[in-house]
Amino acid sequence: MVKNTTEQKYWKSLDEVSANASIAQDYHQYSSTAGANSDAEFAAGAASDAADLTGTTVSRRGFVGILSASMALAATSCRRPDHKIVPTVKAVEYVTPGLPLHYTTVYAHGNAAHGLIVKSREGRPVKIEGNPAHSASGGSSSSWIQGSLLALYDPDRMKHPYINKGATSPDGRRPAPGYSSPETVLAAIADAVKKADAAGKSMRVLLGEHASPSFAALLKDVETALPQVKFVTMPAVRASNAAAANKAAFGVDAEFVVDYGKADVIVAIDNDFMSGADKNAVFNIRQFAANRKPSLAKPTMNKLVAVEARMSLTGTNADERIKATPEQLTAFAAALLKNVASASGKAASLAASADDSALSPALKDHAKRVATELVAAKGKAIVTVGSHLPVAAHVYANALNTALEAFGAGKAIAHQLPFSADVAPDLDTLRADLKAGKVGAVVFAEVNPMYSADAELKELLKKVEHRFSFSLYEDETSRISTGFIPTAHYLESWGDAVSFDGTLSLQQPLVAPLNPNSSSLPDLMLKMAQTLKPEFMTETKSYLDFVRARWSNTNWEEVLRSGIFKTEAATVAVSGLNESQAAQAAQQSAKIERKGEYVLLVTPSHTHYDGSLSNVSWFQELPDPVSKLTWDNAAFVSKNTAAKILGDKRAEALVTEYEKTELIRVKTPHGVVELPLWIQPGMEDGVIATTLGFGRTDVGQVANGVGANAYALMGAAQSVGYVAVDVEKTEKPYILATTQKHYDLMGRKIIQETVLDKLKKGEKELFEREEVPGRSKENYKALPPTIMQNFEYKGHRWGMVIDLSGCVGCGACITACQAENNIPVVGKSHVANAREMHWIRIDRYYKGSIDNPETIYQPMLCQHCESAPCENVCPVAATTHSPEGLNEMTYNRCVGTKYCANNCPYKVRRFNWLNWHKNKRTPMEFVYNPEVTVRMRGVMEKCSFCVQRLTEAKHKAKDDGRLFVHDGEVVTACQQACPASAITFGNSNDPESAISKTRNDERNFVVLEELNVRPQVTYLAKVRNVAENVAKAEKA
Amino acid sequence: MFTQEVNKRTKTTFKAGIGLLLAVGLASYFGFDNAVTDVGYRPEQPVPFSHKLHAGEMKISCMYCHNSVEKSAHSAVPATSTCMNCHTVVKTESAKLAKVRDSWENNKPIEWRRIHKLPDYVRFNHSRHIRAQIDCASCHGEVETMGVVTQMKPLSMGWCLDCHRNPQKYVVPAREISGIFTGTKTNEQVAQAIKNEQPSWGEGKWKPVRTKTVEAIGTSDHVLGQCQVAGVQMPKKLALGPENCSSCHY
Repeated sequence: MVKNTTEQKYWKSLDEVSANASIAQDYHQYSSTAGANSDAEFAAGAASDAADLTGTTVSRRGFVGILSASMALAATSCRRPDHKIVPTVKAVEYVTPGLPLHYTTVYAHGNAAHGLIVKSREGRPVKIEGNPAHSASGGSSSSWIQGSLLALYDPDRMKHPYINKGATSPDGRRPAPGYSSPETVLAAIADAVKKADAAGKSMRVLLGEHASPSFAALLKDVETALPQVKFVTMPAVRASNAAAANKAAFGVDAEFVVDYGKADVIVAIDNDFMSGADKNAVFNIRQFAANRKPSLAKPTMNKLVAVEARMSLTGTNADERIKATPEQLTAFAAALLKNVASASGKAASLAASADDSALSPALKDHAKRVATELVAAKGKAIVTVGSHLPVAAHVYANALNTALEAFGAGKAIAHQLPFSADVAPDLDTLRADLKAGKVGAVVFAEVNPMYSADAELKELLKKVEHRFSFSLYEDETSRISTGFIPTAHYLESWGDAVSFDGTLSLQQPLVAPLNPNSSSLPDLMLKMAQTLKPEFMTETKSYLDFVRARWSNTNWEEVLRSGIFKTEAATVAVSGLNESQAAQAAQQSAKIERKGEYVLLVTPSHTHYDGSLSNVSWFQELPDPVSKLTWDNAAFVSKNTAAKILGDKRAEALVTEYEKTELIRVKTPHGVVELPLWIQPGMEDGVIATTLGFGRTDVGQVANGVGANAYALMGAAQSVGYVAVDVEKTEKPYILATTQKHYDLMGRKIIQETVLDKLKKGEKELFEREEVPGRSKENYKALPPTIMQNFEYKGHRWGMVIDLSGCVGCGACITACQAENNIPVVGKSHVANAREMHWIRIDRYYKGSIDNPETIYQPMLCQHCESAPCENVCPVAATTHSPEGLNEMTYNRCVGTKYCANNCPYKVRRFNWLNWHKNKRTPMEFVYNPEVTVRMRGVMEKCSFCVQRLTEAKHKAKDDGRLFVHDGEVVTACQQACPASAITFGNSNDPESAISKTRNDERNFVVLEELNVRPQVTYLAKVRNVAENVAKAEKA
Repeated sequence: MFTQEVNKRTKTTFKAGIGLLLAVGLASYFGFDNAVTDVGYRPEQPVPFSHKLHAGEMKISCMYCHNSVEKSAHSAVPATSTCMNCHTVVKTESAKLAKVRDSWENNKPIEWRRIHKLPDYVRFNHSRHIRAQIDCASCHGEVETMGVVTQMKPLSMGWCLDCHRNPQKYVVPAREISGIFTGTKTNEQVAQAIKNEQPSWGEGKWKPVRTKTVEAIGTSDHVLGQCQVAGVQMPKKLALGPENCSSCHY
């Protein structure tokens, strides 16, 4: 068993692990001084003045005055208000008021297609789920996919096309809107192209990534018919080193898709494949986690080794995390290659030229050891490299994977990402053309270079005479455009998409465009081409016609129904490693540069990705899985680096008052940005990490001015990656809103973990269980005695099991729950006051030293206790126990005493301090799930086990003449979204149900079991695939 | 400790407070009771549609127009197209139908005034009740006798629970005019299906309790309602409908 040293204890935030504070001390300090110090239960400022929060200063006298006035008003209005029922004129086919309809569609996150099933109520989409038949989504989804629904109803979406012929006001904003029609704007584009043509120039259409074969075909047709129009792919997240390396090594100009389920040993070198920074994260997590759930009967699991310089989501989930400097990352890949090549005899010449001189002796030893494990698992081993790393690292990984036989059908790398060719050459040409003045007009087609491009390109684009923008929002780029047409959301438009394995899906609109002025981007491209050349595809009236024509030999209705059309994508064509070309590419590969001792890493954000949907408030309030920060991006540094930048004293202060940080000025050769400093455990000294997606200035009320724009720090080649940086302090104070320390559980045994070795040995005692009064240790499966009456569950008894070994902490469940249960967003200041409303949160615990801690995630939600402490203290019986084991919350009965929240040992109850829904702007209210009450100010709320879904399933069972819901018939929103399938839900009264079987696992444990509150939610202990005797990486 | 003045003021405030509380309490108890505010609510509709004529005299079944009632939680008010099924040939010139024709021709929905309205935090599912063969009249009164529809029942929580506890006292058995089960399964089919149902996990340690049978409506062969209030088991009562909070509030 783990030794009970300070190093082995769990901790959540820096102050707990700081020199003189242990968890036990925390607890005793808390008990004796009751919150007099910073270790108090609630975060600093949690008890701030109510007047402060509401922004009003109503006096007591004024309050009584308002109260009596409102009572007088109430007395005069006894009659209820008039309600209208407005039926349709013509009954709509298939639509029954009150019943949902489900449609299949597909969402392309860049070039990664995710098949979806979207629920629609009375003609409006209300919930997105993954399509179980689709290869990439596999029935699950991510926060990003869940949140894309809110973008549909975003009131900040631009409604009007406009044209103002280049006139701009002194502040750079366009003058009084010259609202126009899409046709006028398209005519203006045609005019601009004509003028450009006359001047010997041409037009460029800048596009984002896509996954649609039909769209690609359309673009090709347009380019053939109109030589004066050229399309350039310009994704905001530009990282084409992988494609460049694949081109050099194999002649394949594409990125590979890795099936982590096919690998037993995975080495991820600075590759955060689980986070939202990876477009395929849903697929990655699902395949990775499928092989992470060992049991005594089947004690096998994969092993993940992460080598990285920052603390990424993947790193926190690694069985072994090796910390290295950015320069050492490529060298580590080189060292691995040297070792593997000598063991396998493959890629010898490339290995000989690989440079691993940057590695320390300790890291060389690690590389040797890891290489041995890789070779031992040949055919089931893989090395992946972060897309932002230099070409050399990718080349070495390609050589490694060739030597490890990871390529080919049925292997880890069998497919390539569609439309993922290296975009750098095209962008270089664009830049050269712009400089040479060859571009007379430019159309920004759902791209936002004024936000995401480097400074030079921004200036070049601004100089183009005619600029037009097609976008969802009137964004930074639309502001400098002379014409604008709003585009339609993907749930409003037709299209198609292909997944990496060849699965084709139709993008079926759920709703007609909410804005009649908008059309989908492909539609606009078609119309634009037809305006430029009236004889172009005269028979094709819309993009739908175009898609249908291309799909004419399939059963259209059947594809719409199932959501997929299976075709076999060719296995990735890797004929053989071209070692000389690869060596050359590695030689020419850019090196990571430093200025002084600092280096900056910019990656896409887990919650915001590239920032295109930053105006979705769900993303803003979703805590970053590692730092638990909301509403901001920060400069993540190690404690030592913080001390170097801010001084020892200030860094020490930040350990205890981490939210009250300060801005530092981050200066790269490309730009300057001020970022709040955040001490992140596990960071390499000298590395400053930050994320993209923040610092929008022109998108909408939610995102404008939130965080800082890290694109400004990046140069022409890549918008992600390592860059030399200069750092100085500004001494400007800054408050960050984190959910990190709220609802502290005071160091009790709430998480359990074990190692695979114990399972292999068949040890019964996998971890040390909490002692429960009245029950012997051996008899841990029995219920402890209670003075309460045992509750008798006669029918269903709903329960949940969460596998901590599967959970990677991505937070898809949080956003899914938010969408399903109408959970409000509260804003930064209230999160800072510990008033976030998420019904499910993911607690993150660290263990070990601050330099390279182990991490464990634990989703925490209402445990639906059998003898619930909350129920006992409610004075108005607003929270009660249902015959099926739910802890019910009756909002209309709640008077807001908050006794229940105070008495809840799990701290999962959320109080509506204000009427969070008050400022909803049309059409945002349409996103509400009509099956769930929208809660008012002054009431408590919490996880309901998706009781609306339970009710629906029971209705269905009754309609079928069944007494009971089938196992698996009802899934909760969090369970459905979870890409790791870490959540099992069902009837625990049924001994044959999945949940009953899962509970029999020896890893099963109850959080805070000693309280004997008998939760319906239990957990399976996390398993780490480390040998007990393996020394920890940072100690070596 | 306190001066007399303070003492006196405190007492006065206290008395006044009690008086105020009583007044507010009484006013809300009687003034805001559903029985006072809602029963008898009889608004004038934009189109003088007579249920008495259509259902009472013409014997058009309730479900001809309110066709979603057995499938969905909502009993929808019909689309204009439902009216026009007949009124393209019947009474095509009637002045009373001017608004309906206007709606049909100009694609403009008719705004009916809602009579039966539950608060937003209550989930009532029509189909469940209809499938249990509870007649429309149980809650809506005999609408086929009404020229102008009036709310007959208070639709309060107490009223709901009364029936959930003692359905035999309140439930009006299905009548022909309602059309209950004419569109879907017959009573016998549903009863047989429930009889055939065996719990998927057989006779294990835990024996499931049959929650409901169609034949048993109105009798006492049902599960006991359970609701724990403030940690104390409430007395068990014979019940048909569920009584726990989250059956209707979520």
